Amino acid sequence: MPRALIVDDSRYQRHLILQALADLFEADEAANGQEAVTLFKTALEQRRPYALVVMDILMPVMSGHDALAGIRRLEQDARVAEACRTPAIMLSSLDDPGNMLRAQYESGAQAYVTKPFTPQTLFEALAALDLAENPFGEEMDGETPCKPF
Amino acid sequence: MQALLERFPGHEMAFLNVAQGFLFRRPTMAHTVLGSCVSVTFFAPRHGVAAIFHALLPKASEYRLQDADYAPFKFVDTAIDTIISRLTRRGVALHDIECKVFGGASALFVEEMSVGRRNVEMAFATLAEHGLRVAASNVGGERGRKIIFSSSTGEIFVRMLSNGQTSCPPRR
Repeated sequence: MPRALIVDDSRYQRHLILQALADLFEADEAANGQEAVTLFKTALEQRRPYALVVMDILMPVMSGHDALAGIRRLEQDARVAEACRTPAIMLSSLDDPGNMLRAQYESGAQAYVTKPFTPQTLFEALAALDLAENPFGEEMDGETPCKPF
Repeated sequence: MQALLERFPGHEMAFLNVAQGFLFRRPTMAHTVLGSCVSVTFFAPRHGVAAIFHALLPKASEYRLQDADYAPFKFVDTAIDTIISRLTRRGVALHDIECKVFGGASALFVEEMSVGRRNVEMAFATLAEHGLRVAASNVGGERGRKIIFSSSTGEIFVRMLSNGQTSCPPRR
């Protein structure tokens, strides 16, 4: 079973996330950003990278933004190809534009889910990352987006 | 796509072009393809209504030659204003609406502030001005997205478009 790193300073929130992901992932837990970076570094060194990171933002010691940026630096230093980096979902009660933008355009998250969350919303984010069943199927590649960037 | 259609029997299909927005009362699967454009979904299950738009540019007033009255869904800010106005006219309370935001991709080498990011920034800011909370978003990156929105459940299915395959080692 693939491994996920669940990062949240609330034990109750980690429990909710673990419960939602139980059928899909084995999970390691971290209670702050610094612990998360340490666990991620060890996983990289052991060549057992995580398949998913779920990251809170407001935590003691090190915030989720800084931790995720640290994880991306570790991957860069380890020469992990960009397409092979561990997908990350920011899962936070912060719902302001600044944090949602920073998470996905600067810190390195692929999706943002706001607490309180439903398992359905979390699964939608996972499916978009190909980490849960995506009923879309595989036929979509080759379509042309709305306009050139 | 077939699996989705089987999962949602009795739903109509609707393709959303650029600068289009739809409000649904009947069960519909709305789909579109996004690059730097942005789609916001609105889901109000208590009122049996849902909506989505596909906007190209962030702010109508920055493009004075364009008349937002004729193409409100071309711009993120006027698209949100228009949909919220139509929902509230139907008696939908703002706190009953669940919003999700998608799109806003950027090319690899772009100016500091890409149109994709500005579209998303405008979506987040305009929704916040209306007091609407974003339940989830999947924005940014360098790849386009195909999305399907179920108006009956509020579910969103996203498929990232391929930029060419990179073979990654397995994760254990």
